[in-house]
Amino acid sequence: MKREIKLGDAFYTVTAHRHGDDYTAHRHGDDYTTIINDGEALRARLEHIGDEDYQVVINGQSTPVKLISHGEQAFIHAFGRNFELDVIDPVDRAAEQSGSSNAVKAPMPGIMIEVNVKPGQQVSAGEPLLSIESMKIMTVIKAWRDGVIDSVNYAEGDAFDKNAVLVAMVEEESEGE
Amino acid sequence: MRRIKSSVEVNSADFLANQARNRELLAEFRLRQDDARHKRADRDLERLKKQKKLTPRERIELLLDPGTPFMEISSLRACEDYDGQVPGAGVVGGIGIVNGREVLVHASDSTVKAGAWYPKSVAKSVRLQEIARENHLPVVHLVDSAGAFLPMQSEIFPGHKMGGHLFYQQCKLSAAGISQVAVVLGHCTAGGAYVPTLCDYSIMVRGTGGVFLGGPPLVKAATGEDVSAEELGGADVQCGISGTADYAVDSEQEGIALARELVGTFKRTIKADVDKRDPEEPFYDPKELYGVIPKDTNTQFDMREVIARIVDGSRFHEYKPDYGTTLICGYAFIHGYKVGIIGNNGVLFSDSAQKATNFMELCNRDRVPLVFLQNITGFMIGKEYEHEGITKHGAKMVMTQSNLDVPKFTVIVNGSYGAGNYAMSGRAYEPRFLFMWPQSKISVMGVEQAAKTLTQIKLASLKKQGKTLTDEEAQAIRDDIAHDYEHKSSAYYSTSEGWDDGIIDPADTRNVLGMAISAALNKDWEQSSHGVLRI
Repeated sequence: MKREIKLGDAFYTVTAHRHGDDYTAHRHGDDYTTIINDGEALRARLEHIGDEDYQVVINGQSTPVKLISHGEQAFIHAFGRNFELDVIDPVDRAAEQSGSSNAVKAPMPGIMIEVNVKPGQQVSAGEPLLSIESMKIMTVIKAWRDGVIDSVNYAEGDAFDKNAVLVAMVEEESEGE
Repeated sequence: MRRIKSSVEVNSADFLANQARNRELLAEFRLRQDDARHKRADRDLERLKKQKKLTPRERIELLLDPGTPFMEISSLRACEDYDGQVPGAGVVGGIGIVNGREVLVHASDSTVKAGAWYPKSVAKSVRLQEIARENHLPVVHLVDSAGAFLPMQSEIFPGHKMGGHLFYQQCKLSAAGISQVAVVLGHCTAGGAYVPTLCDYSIMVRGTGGVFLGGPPLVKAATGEDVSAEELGGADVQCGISGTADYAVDSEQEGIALARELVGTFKRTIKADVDKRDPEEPFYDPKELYGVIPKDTNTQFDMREVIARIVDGSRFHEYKPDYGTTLICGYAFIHGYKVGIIGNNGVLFSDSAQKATNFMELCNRDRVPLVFLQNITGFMIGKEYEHEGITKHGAKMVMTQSNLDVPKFTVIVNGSYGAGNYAMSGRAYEPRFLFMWPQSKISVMGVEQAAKTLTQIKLASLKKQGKTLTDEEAQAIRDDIAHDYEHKSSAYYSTSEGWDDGIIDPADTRNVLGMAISAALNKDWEQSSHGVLRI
């Protein structure tokens, strides 16, 4: 099973094979060599002692570990240090690279109910930008990322068609200029 | 399967405002449910005590395996009718565990009008039997009813799904191999006498239980014969002399214990084979649903946030996520059972209807039960949409959904309007179970459009009669119409009429669905075979 993990700020690809209660962990292509030697498969055994207490046994040497997991995240205390570990979802990883759009288009014809922002305004992700109503349902359009508003194309009370561009943000690369 | 990543902020002003409103609605629901279950006049309770009778809920508690849940059906049936005087329609019913078997419990509520049958009592009993038949569940009848409420006999007696249908269904249940046991805890007179008699096993309590076609007063009037109830059709007569019943017992406790023993002898059903894995609690707390559901029913919300708080591990594989985006389809597990989920994220368009059709065909072929989460204003209207054939695409969805072999379950989580209710497996489409959240609305169209239309019609007819109205009078007519329409669109009206199987606490949705799926799997289904079309 191949997984991408994020440990601190660095990303690693790890392959884990199960052998009964043991896992063989194998790390790919980097020169970080504290626990696992590059290219060399080490047999590690993680023993659960109780609650969040574990001990990891590598080459016959055991080290106490504290591990709290929450969803795809784990907080680990071992070797005198704290680690934050995230398991990266391969589908999310692929989707990240596809980039996001700079504008919101109307999913169906409707009416602009409320406009909360002006062009040039700085907004942060999750901030409500507009409220629209279509087929008796009110939808709040929120900022999908941090950025600067480029244009708002309809005023309150205006009707719009399907696929009309309702609001656009300044392209990310050009914002710094 | 991937975990849904919630973007709900539990400390945001919106969340907190929604939560406050929804908790208020939940408190109202809890209060109404508690009253319907327990609030009774002292004299009714004292009368039972004098007769050494237990209340229906005490009886059910004795019947069920200790510590197991009871999934009550339609606890608020008739809550908006009969001036609120017949709580639960005088019948307590639901699914519980007896000796390790899922059974349908059907109990008269003798704390309400001596268990008399009102039109809605009969309709509720018929629905409970339907649940037994559709899901192949043995039935335990706890019988203690005064019989039909005479002033309303015309609404109880002869129609298709009225009184007679109760006995008809008992016969059909028997032929379908579904065991039934009755405990007779009161007098069963006339038609009522058939309830225990059509069961496989009938237990009668000495002194209080009685079975006769005509009771002592009728016998006296018709033939002049003087006879006591016990001599006419008491436990010892029917169990020892006529053989109409099977076991005479000295107390309700003994009778119910015997019913438990009998259920323990019933053949265990082999459950339908579906994909299962170990259950897992949702990653996101189901109680967060109170903050997810907008305080205003007309505000859009992301159904994925609801799914994340219902399914195992909050894990969901979304099918065709970039196509027909106003409808969410995908696979998840609930209490370890694999399900296909179809949830609304906006109006139904041609593409969303096509996606749903395709997804239902996949689930049907792969024996994956379907869960519909309704929040639907309807299908999109307008020239562009008619030209692309939205009506025929909607018809495909309705056709496929109606003819599914796999069991389906529906939860109305917010709005349920128009043809959307149909396409999303509303009551008329016979989902195995249908539940509603307290704030939900259900009607052919939204209140504003309907009130506008109805007011226009009324004003036009008044104008024809030569009457002119001031603006205030016209507004008053509109307000009356809107008020009535709103009332009849509420979850309480729906549950009172039996358009659902009960209102539920949103946070209980996962457990209710888990129990419903488990019950439904007592009945296997035939698989029709054809390839899945990419529509």
